[in-house]
Amino acid sequence: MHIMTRREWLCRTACGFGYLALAGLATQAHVTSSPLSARPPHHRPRARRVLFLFMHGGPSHVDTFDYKPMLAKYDGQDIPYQLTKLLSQGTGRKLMASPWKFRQYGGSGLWVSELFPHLARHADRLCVIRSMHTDGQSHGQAVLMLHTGSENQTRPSMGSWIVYGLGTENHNLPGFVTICPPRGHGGTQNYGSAFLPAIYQGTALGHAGTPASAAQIRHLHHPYAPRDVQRLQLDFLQGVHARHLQRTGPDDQLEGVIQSFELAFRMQRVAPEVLDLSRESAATRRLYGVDEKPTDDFARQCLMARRLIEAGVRFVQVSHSFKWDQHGDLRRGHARNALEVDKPIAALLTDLQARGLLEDTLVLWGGEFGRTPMAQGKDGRDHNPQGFTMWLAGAGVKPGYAFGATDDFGHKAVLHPVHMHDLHATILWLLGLDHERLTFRYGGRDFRLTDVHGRVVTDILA
Amino acid sequence: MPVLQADRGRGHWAFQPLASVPVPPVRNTSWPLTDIDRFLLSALEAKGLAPIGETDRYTLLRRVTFDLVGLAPTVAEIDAFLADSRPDAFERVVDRLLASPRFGERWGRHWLDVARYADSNGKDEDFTFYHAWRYRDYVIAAFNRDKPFDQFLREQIAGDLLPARSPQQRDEYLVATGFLAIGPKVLAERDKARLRMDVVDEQLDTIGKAFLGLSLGCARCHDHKFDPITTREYYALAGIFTSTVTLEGIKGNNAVISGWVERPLGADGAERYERYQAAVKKLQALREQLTKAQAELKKAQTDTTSGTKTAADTRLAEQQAVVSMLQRQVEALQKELPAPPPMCMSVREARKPGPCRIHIRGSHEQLGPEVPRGFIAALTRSTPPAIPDDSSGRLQLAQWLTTDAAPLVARVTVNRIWHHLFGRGLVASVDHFGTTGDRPTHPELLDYLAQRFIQEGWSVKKTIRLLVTSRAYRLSSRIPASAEATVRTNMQRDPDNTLLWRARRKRLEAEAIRDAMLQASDQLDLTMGGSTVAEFSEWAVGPNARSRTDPEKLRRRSVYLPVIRNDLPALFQVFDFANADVPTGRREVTNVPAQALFLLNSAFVIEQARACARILTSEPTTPDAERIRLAYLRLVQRPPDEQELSAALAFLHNYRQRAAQSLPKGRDPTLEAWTALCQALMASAEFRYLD
Repeated sequence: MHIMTRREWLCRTACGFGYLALAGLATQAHVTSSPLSARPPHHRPRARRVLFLFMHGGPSHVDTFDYKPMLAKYDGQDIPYQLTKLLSQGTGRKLMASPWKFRQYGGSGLWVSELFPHLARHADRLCVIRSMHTDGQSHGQAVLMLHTGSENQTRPSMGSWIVYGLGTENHNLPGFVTICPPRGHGGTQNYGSAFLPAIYQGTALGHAGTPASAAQIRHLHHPYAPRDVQRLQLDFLQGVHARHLQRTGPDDQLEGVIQSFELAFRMQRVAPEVLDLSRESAATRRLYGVDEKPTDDFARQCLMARRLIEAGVRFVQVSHSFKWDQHGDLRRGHARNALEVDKPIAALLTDLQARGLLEDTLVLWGGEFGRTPMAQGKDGRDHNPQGFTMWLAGAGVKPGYAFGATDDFGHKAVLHPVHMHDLHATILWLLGLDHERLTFRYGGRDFRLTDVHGRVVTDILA
Repeated sequence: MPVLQADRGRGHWAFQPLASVPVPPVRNTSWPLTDIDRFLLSALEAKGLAPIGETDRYTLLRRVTFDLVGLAPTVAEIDAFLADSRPDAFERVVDRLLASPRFGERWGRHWLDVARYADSNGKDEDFTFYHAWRYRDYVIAAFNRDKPFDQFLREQIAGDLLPARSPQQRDEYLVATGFLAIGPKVLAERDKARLRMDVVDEQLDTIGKAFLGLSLGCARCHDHKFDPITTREYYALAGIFTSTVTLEGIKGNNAVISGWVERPLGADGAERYERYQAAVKKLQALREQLTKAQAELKKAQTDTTSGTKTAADTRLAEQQAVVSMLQRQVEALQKELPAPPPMCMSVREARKPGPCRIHIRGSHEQLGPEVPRGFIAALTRSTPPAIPDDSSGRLQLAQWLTTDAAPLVARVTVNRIWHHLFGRGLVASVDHFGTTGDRPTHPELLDYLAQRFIQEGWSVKKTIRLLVTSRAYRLSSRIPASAEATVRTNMQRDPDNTLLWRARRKRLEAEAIRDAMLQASDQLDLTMGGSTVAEFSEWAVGPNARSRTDPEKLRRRSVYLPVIRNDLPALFQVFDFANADVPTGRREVTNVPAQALFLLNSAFVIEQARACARILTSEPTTPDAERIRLAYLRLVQRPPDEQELSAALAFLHNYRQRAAQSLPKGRDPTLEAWTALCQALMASAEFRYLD
């Protein structure tokens, strides 16, 4: 369509060889292989893409998915362990019972607290890791650890490693999209490519603080020129390129530039369609909680994420902005947070399942760490990287399954501890990538997402 | 094991003393203009290759102007150069550019990449560095004044310890040590012993890469696997920096978040700083009193139950009086708060300098034996300077780097210069001269240049002049379709152009792209120096950050835009700005759709294009053909050929028509057409590549 109008115009203006050469180039542009072309994995993949639901701030595991009856029993008494000296001021030894009741759900009998009534109905789909532990007692470190595998070195993000390893399935969209990512705690590093080529970096839609309804890819539209007018300009520009190429001789860089403009122009058309939630039925919007308080914002993020996943984006992240950090007022804070995300996440799982996408999409839920079973102040909980919970669902993981355990009070991972490096190794494995072979040479050394650590947690594989 | 490694490493080419190399003979004696050309040509001839012809004068002027000052030549400069038939016309251009203050802004920025310069901390807590800009300005001035590079090195590592002749010089030296202070730090690391070692490691890593082209960091945990640096040597160096204070105090009013060293400037800076600190302390105490009094007042207001009404009223009145008095005192003190002196980021000597203990596998919780402070054995040829017990040893490290390690420092430095001018270093891995780095394509030439660099007083400007006045610098980058047989031979035998038989096409950096756009629209503000982060909040980004001026609104040269580690300006992000977390001698050059989207749709680009269009159309009688010629000269610094001219005329005609139909009302179709044309040229590959 566009090619035809361009050709007509090119013929009319009849400016010579350069323009004709360009017409050929432009039609070929999309078939040439690029660094984003889909690449074969190391072994048979269970998952083709990842959807990460990031709960920034650190949700409390002992109030959500890690049921600890002993915590209620010893409420107000001292925890009988030696504690790290790195806890915040005001965090004592006194245990604090969870204000929420737990129940078992589904055939699997997974324990879920009353904070997540909608999600609990999906208990038989969840694969809960109750023995997570990570590095970094402060948010910034732990957030970077979760996203990049390093708490203090600048390393490529998980999403960029995955796109580097597998390429993308839709050339008209970025391979890695992150919706409303945090601005602090590492900011852009959490979706950056560090020393990997920039083509693998995440594309941000808005950032924490942007309403999801306003989150979009930057510079996706000309401020006022309609598409056909812009095409006219682009044709002229490609003519300039063709003439340049003709004058200077063959050149990969120039040809790359020509192609990148065509790709960008296609992206301008495709991306808004993919992100247009008005194309969803009223029933679906209702299911997620779009246009309803207090779910609207996160519902939109989840629905956009599903549409991106459906369109073939390899790695999609949504972030519930920095809200889970309840050093005080746990009861109110966690209740509000759970209310905002519970229904949208449940809807997302229902929707993915209904569309057959859960079969090859890996859903990951969690924060940068958990929270202490001890009280901070009178009604808060402190950071706890020593033991916490994350869950997975969908492609390749055991459904309705709980793995590992923290101690009686939920302080430390004690049974089958899973370090963040192990989780990374496992996610890569599910995607068909061997974390020890997915390397990139930089500064004379081969780097990987898992540094020199990580082992695949085979017990959770379906 | 370590001994064996050190022995093996001594044989590595980069650790050798500089060989005195004779200039090689060449067959085509009329081609070389300089000795550099003789080295290059001799290598080409040995492979049966011949250099391609020289480029045209438009391209050459554009190349040298961007290379030396990071801006495009103006239309007047183009006309002057084209009209100058003197044999040394080009040398005159080179000297003019080297003398321009724009030179330091260009080459200073190259060094700021290596020095991982930023105006914020980045990492976990992205705090504003309010005073880092002084280091940036110091660097720009150093390049403009052609400060000898060995002196430049000494000032950055030990400026605070060098004897100064005047208060101004003392300030300059102190600001130079910002080099050690501006690195990213995990400020909220709660284990402060660990944080201190992480900072030391970051400093060593930066010094190693910046000056020696070596990754020292590996040896923190184990003897270096590839290079002759043992864990023992690492901790010998680390002792110098554990004897140096980099972190100090807290930030964000948060006991968990570490602060960093800032030192007062000016002849009376220390006293002024003390007065200021005392006043701030007093003010803080008063504010606390006020808060308490206000709380009590609130209590008195709500609690009217006890005692009689009159008694309560009296209490209330009394308390009100206390609050008002304190409020007045706070206000008064605030008014007379003395201005703080100018400050800079720096370091200071530790109270008790001393050796560091080996950290087993890099852990500060598993300490091994103490190691006396010292240097890397494989690079040491003489008796290294002794480190006195009462100092950190930074002064001695600076001495060692510019004597024992001088051959390597000189090789690394001239190679960086070569990389920027010829598009690839003689050693392609510019920050990695270790055994896993690339080998030099012309080892003798590298040694020749390093030796000459030292002999000519470590002058960066002289080295640049030497390089750009070579014949090699003038080569064309083009391979015409009708390439002659010699060119075809070149392409077969050296397809990657390793031996430099033609010029390498270079992509402009983000800064030069932005500056050239502002230049084309006459919007570029050439004010030099000063802070551009004063209005920032304590956190540059994050949930607590204040919103600030959009960097797209700034019109200063790009080198002065705030470098916020976790929030770079969009144009910097898409055009591969250096990662400010690590020394970067060679930027990536990527080609991603985000660049195309930026060039097609960014308000900044469109605004510059429109301003340029206004300039072109300002004179109503100028014919369109002449305007197009001026547009090409302004934007790609050459006139259009016939074909380009007619294409542009046709485009203007079509776009005007379409604009009249389809663009929002109120937009002038003619101005829109010219804007679209200028924007297309700004978006073109030719705009951002140097042929």
